[in-house]
Amino acid sequence: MRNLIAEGVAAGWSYLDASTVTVDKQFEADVVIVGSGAGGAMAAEQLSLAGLKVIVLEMGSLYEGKDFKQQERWAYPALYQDGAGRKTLDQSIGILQGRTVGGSTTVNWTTSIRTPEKTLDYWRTEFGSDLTSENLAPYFQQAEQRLNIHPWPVPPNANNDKLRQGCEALGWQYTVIKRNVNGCANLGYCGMGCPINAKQSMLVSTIPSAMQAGALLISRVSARELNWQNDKVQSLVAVPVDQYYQPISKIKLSFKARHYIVAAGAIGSPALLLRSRVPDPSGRLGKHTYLHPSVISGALFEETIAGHSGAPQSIYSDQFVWPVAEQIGFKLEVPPLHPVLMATKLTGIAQTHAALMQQFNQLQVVIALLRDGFHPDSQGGTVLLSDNGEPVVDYPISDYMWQGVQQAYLAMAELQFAAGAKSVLPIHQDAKLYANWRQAREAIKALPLQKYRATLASAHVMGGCNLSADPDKGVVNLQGQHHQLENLSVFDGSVFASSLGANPQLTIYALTLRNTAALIKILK
Amino acid sequence: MNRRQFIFRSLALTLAASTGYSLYQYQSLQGSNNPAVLVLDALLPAVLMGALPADIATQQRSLQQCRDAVLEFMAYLPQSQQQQLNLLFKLLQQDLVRLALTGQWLYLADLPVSQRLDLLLSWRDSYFSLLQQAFSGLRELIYGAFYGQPEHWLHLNYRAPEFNP
Repeated sequence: MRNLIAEGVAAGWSYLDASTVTVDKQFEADVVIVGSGAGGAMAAEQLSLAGLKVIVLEMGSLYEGKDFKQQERWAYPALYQDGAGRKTLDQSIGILQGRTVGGSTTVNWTTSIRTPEKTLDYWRTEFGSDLTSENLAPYFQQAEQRLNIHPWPVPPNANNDKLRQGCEALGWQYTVIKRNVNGCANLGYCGMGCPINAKQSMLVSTIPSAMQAGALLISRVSARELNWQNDKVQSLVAVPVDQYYQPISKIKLSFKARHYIVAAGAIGSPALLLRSRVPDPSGRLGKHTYLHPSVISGALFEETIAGHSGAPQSIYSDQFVWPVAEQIGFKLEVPPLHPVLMATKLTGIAQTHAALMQQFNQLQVVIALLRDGFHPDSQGGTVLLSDNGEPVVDYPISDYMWQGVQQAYLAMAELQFAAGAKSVLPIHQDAKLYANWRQAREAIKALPLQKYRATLASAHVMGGCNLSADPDKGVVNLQGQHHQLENLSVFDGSVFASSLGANPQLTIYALTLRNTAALIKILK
Repeated sequence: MNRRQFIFRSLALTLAASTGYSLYQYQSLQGSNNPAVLVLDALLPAVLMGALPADIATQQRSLQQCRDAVLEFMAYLPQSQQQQLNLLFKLLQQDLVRLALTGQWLYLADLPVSQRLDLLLSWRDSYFSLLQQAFSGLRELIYGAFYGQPEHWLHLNYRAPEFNP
């Protein structure tokens, strides 16, 4: 197995591990990009191939192919934001977000879904967007070809297959997922970095391509502040991070560029702009942060599920994403089942928890991703800064959303029993293993809908720098350019004007390709 | 040794007498005034009851590994969250001491593990959100650290593959 970037660096590509820098340094480029994930790296490739001098900054470390270890105790601290321990301000929602070269694309579960039509409709109606499925189609196709996105042809693993079986038994909609893989061996360790370079993350596609074309990659560096004057950004100041990814403020790396792209994810990007006190006349910077808060339901089956093995996600159901009634929609998927991920999310303590863990290979899990951001009572969270400038998301959960949590528990339990579960355990502190659907239904209706009782998690952070045609209703325009600072763009999921109701990577790729093409015309 | 240290040492030793964690607890609490260490050492045997290896020496090693893994993991959290956690450990330490003082500590020598769990569950069910956070946060830290260790996968019938050994 090859480490593409390491080989390229050995052959002369430009790369710097900022943690090795001991004195202040200055850099210049046509474009400086903060973040090497779905937005930053996709833009870096296009800009570099267009002949522009590009620098890509990444807070995480460079790990690839042979470096990846298939153990959560290594992968989470090495590859995830806050060691996969990121939480909302009140600690009620866990947030999984990549922090490594390639960003979340290095650790995501490869699910690739075009932006739902109804989401684009909402953005057009509420934010003056011009985005349609038709005018985005060329960019979706470009991303799909670039990353070999195609329907997964292999039968789903048992964890996904139970989702399929439940849908079939109940007559519910389901879809075989498209994945960005090439030569996938169906291992099941996508969340810890693909050890065989099969996942077409940014790590094996656009980043090597951009570096081949001359881009400089700097890892282990935290962008701290954009210095701006009048309507232009003048420079960017960054600092190295230590072995625990804590900023080292005594060393400064300064960057001057014609254009600055912020692509640090929907927590990191608003945080950088907030630290920089950029103009915010709409008042929406760092506001309306969406999480797809996810409700979890476990089930025990007689047969072996072994949800750690095989493609993590290969089936989803949109049966409840767009309900007719005035209630929040949710998408049904499954997560990979690895020991730490399961142990930390399962309810119970001491013997009850140990007993559940001993049935690890019989455990099947469904998640319901709440589609937040489309209703007055679901306006998302707010990115706040701590005293030392680190971001945290304050995400209140409204009664409207709690009703969705209950609906999701009910739907998941019904589905799991329909798929043949011998018992179902809604992941809620007051829930028990229920032996049949009737018992589960009555019990779920009585579960208190409160934070800390219901275990909630997120793997999709969106919004906070939302797009809008009208500067009064958004942070960036429809090309991702900041409404007030002309040489600043935001190219990541933070530009979404709501959550998507779908996994976000393909939408980020398509929007970035579209907006980068427009930016190249300006810069060339 | 002040009153608080005495109580903690007594807690560990008396619990150990009934659960077999004596050497671990004794060594652990020698010379440590770190609230995180003290709270973790007091809680780990209760949280992990049912999951720990049967062999006493292996138990001790598991508990030490788990505690060290929790402490090491905390360094990856943002500074503000680390400060909050350290404050939380101090509060929990005080909570344990208060329990000791009001519950006549010396009689806790035979305290069943079920009552230790009751203490934890009282945090879970507390009116105060800080204690609810403490319950869920500690639980997650402890189970994450414990099940991150390959030697604890035996009962799970799970082995992580090594594609790049």
